[in-house]
Amino acid sequence: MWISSALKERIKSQIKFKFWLSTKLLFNRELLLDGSAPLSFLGLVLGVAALVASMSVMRGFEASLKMAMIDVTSDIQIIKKGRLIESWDEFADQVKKIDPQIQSLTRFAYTEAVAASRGKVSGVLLQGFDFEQAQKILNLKARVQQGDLDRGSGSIAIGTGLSRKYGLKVGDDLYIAVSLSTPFQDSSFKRQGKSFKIAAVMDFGKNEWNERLILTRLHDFQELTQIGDRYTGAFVKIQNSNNAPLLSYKISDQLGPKFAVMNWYEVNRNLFEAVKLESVVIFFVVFLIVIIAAFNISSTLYVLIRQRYKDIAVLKALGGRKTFIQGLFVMQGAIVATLGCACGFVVGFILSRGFMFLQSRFPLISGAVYKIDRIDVSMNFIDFALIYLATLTACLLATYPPAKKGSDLQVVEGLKQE
Amino acid sequence: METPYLVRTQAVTKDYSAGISAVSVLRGVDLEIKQGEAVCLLGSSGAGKSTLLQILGTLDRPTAGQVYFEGHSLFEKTDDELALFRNETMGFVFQFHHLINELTALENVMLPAMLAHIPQDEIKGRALHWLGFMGLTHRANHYPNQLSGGELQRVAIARALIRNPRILLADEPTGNLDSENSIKIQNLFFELQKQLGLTLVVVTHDLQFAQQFSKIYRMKDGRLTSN
Repeated sequence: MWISSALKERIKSQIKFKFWLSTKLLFNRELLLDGSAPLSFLGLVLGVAALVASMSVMRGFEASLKMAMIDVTSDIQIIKKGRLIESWDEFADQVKKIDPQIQSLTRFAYTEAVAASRGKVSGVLLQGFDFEQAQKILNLKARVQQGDLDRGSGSIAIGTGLSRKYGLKVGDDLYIAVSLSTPFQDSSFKRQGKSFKIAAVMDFGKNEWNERLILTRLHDFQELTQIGDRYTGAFVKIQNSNNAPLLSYKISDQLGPKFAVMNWYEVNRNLFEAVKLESVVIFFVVFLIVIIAAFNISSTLYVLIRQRYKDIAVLKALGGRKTFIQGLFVMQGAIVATLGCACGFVVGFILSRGFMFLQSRFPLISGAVYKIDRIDVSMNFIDFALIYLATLTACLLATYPPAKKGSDLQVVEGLKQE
Repeated sequence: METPYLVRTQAVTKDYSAGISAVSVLRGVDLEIKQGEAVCLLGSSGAGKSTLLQILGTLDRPTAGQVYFEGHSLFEKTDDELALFRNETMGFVFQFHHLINELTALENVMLPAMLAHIPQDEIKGRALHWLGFMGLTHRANHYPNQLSGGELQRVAIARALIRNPRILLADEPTGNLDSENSIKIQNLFFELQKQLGLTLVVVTHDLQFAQQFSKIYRMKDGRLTSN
């Protein structure tokens, strides 16, 4: 719709004047220091802070899990069912041709194994891959807690869980045994073992991996498992990780039923879906605090309007229209909501940082239950915008009844108040 | 040729309900005020003079009867239309200054013009002019709690004049002042009336003040008894 510049200017000056007068009437010493106003405001700040903190933790959980998956297993994994893959170059070319979004891939092999050290024995998942090529696809270096991945042949990287369980550190030896099938007897196997030097202790991000996953070089893996220059599958890196689910369907379709194609989202689909649903539920539950705070602000505004009867009457006597008076108090609601959100965001940020600090000192999250035992709190602009809009709406709705009451005031009644 | 009436009331009554009964504050008031006239409503407390002034100033609606401004019935207008009318046509001075405590003297004076959305640069000069006229230029940036009673009332008069009103309505404007300030304010009213040709309607129970007006309406029990 076309609006003349004169009208635009008029609307602008009206809003400016209303804002100016609202702030003048809102920020006075009596209101700021006495009565219920500071408490109502504090309620709003805490409500917003609780929303920010809970949303940050939920988003952080989602982001931490996603990051762990992508760092350790890449965007997409392709695994050959049954027989192992023999020709890497041919297979890599075939996969790369499927979609231009595929940036690079590296081969890997894995097997169930048994790790033994200091009288303790437990089942582990031994994974071998080309460390140099993997650097381009996986983000393993960022997950190293102690030691260094580049320690050459005969070295392994273990998770923090396994390190704790066995009391192992960098430089210690760990004996790993795998089972090899015998060609003539289907029901039996022979044991093949080797002692590896621990080059790095890593936080793989997922509790299960920290306790079971052991990384080694593909050559060492192939030698231990006696599979020759063959491998199980490939890690695939794509341009945009969020496209992994769609692209993995395409790869699966092209490679056929002999290959299982997984992506970071599908592997934990239930968990991601649950987090999404929980985020919505938590938002609404915590938002109740904001609604209660908005009611408090409404009752404070009723008191403020009662105290301001004389000023309202004067404004009306001098020519202030009903809608102007209403707008004045609704504007106050908007100012309180905006300030409440700003302070709430700061307090929420501090709470989130506090949570990060506490979880670095105490085990707050059970890895067995939530798959990860540490959350990197994540703050999202969309969440902030949503929290602000919801808070603003609640405050404006709560402000409207007292504002209406103020605008309906009879001038003569107001002037009697002194 | 006779001067046309600026304001005329016709059988104005005002009743207030008190439980099941009603109290009549005004009982059929007929009043005529010409352009540029200085009119005083005189009467004892409870005579209904303030109520009549409020109705003349469209701050309150009559229970029955009509109020005409330049021949146009005022109370056919909506509340918002009346607010605009007040802003453009009338100036008010109350017994208590009724300034907004959070605004400076200058801001209080500018307020009616700001409500009419006149650009601030334009009004500031006008507001300073009226404050200067009242001898309060040096008090422009002071807040009401930093001003004396006489100064407060002079700021209130400056506020009433900022929109160049046709009629100035004052309800006991000297009722809250000491005698020295009271005389200063009284003189100010007549000076303004003469200089600007303002129509002045003042409610008072101060006989000495009343005697200076060109027309006095005496009120008793909600009726005009003499003029």
